[in-house]
Amino acid sequence: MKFEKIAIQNFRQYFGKQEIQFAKEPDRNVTVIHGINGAGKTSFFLAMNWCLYGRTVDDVSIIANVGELMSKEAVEQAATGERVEMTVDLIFSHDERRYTVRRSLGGEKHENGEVMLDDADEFVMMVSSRVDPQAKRVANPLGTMNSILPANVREYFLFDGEKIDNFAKPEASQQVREAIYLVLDIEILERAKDHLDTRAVEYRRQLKQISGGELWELIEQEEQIHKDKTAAENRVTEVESEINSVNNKVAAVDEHLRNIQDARNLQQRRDRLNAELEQRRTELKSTISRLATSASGASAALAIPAIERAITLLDQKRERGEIPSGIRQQFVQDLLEQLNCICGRPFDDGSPEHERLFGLLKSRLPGSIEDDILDTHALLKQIPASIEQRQSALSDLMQQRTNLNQIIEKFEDELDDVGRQLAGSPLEEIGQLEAKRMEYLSDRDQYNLEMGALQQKIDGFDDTLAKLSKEINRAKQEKSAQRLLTKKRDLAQRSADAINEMHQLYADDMRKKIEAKTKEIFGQLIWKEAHFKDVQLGSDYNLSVIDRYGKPARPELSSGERQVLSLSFIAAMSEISEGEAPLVMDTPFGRLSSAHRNSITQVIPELADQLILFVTDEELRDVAESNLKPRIGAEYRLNFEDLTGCTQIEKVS
Amino acid sequence: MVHSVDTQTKERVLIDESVMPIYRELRAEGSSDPEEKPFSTFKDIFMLAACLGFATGRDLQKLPGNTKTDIRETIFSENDLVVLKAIAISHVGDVEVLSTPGEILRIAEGFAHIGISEVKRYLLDTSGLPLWNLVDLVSPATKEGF
Repeated sequence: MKFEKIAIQNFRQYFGKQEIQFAKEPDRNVTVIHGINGAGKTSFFLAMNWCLYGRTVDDVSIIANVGELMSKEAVEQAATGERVEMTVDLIFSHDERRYTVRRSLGGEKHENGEVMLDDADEFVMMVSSRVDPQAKRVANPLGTMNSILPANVREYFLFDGEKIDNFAKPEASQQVREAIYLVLDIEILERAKDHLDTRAVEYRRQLKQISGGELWELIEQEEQIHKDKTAAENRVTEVESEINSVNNKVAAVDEHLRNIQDARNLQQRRDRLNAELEQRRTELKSTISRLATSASGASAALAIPAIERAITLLDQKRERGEIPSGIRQQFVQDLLEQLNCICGRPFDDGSPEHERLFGLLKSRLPGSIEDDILDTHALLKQIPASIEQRQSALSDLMQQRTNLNQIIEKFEDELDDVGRQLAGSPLEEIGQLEAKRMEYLSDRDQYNLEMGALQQKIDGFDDTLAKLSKEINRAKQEKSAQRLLTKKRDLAQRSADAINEMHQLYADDMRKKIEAKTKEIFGQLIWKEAHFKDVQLGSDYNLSVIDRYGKPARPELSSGERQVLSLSFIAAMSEISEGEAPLVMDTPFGRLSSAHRNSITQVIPELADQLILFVTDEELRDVAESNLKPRIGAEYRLNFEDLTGCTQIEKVS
Repeated sequence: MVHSVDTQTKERVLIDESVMPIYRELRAEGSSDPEEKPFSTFKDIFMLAACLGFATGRDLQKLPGNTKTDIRETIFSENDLVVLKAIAISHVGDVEVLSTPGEILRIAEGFAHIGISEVKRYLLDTSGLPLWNLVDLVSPATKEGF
């Protein structure tokens, strides 16, 4: 989607008809609209949103708490009984088509000076293409608009710069997930899965209705367990969110303690101990995993008696000369044919030497088996040594595990000690903070416990469902309707499960791509690039910045840095979605320092196909202004006239 | 090189469905805890069961008829196959069993079927986590006392 032109008439302080052309050339894709506070930037921004979506669409509120939209001056100047109308026209291109949309709302002026507005606004959309330049009316303009840029996706492309730091707030993981799902169309897969789940429930219900006896009861049980499982899964999501919230609270207390002079040393010691503990726990985990690999492949140790007996049997065979040590059958045959011993001495047919060689040839097993025997013998001889080696490695790993456990125990004791010292601090504030922290940790333990119980419950449900499914299949009656419904139910459930799996894989893939792109863009925009080492978007959809110490830095991010992080995230989504979309930003740099403004203005024109900025003069000056200058294709100024209370749009040449 | 047994008719070992829950309880899945599920493959559990089954000294049993899960012969490593051959030679008392690779696998199947209840007894029914019970089982002291 790329905007070409807008015409605003009688919308808020825009009295009469005024229009601007947007920049849309690839190398000059920036439109800057200047205006001091109150000049009408937000009204202009609202006009664009209102034109495309109205006040609300599909329960999504587009414009709220902004008062009347009709120009007061237009109402004032109209005579009683005269019709007053506000309209916003927008022309944009999308997928090689050119759209013209108009939203208008009007009403008649009454004697009391008020305008009685029509019940609903009017929305018209025309479309033309290169093939057919004659514009035609679109029969379903709302649906078409929603397919071009869905209303709930809009806010990630047309957004208020002052609220942009939302994504970087600790509690925003749900919002981040929602944004990714909407912009990258992952939500469609989720909806498909929900739809199929609903169908499966419906088929189960129908099947229950036409079934009887045992099958009916089994299906009822299955349905109940599905319900119980869904309830348990929902609770898992809630508990995950609670744990997340508790972790954030603990991090906030830690940060607070770091900032109190009398607690700083102890808190820093706790930080160090926690880092050490984490490292040791990782080492322990890896050691246990190596132990499992080593022990699970060491069963040969239990077969030593069999191996020894097999070696003895093979040795006896060899001693009896029944297995020539590596002498090939062909070689023995050659000796017999030449009637010559290996030492060069000739022998006669029928001589003892001849008989002996002939006996060897007869008693020998077929060539390939002979090879097998020889190789087996050689390999078996090596096995006791390899068992010993493996047992020695196991013993080393067990020792390593013991050492790590001791170290971890020591660190845990030290951490308890730090906690006790903080709790017993003579400063009331420190003691209270530590008590709060312990309370949070206790809550977390409770939640973890509940999580374990829930997982166990869900596993139990899965087992029961698997058993029930078998019983249901067994008890299925032969009626064709039942068979058909059963097939439909199974198909719907299997499809839902398959889509769910696919959806999770796809969502995870997209999340990782967005994480990498956000990191790349954040690195370009932030001035403390060396301090911030990484940007992570975890499976819980928490967007976090990792500092040079490898710790999450989000609690310490300034609002400007949060804004930069959010902007990086939005730009990453835009790029990963591969759709042509404009970025329309209302007062985007208000809270940014000059360093951030400078780097953003240098990079941002590259991050979107079209960029429309509503800025104050303070926001865009000096280096930031000169950075943007070469990319600006259109520039306007909003002049608010105090005498009339209206805004005039002036083109900056 | 060890002679491959897949030239014969039997190219896989079978596991009776009735004992599969024991296999499933011990095999790792996704991010399961290795202390609770120390084995990464059914094949390794089968090897342990076969070795333990032979060590019990009990008579070889024919597998029940309702076998379902199988492990392809190609999954076994060279060392695994040599151990199975040693069990077969030791059981039959003659190296000529090597000329019938299918028989080697049949013997392994039988002992694994006997041994899997021992695996359950040592790893799952004994107090402590399965991994540490397994480490004890394959460590020299236990092996000697076994």
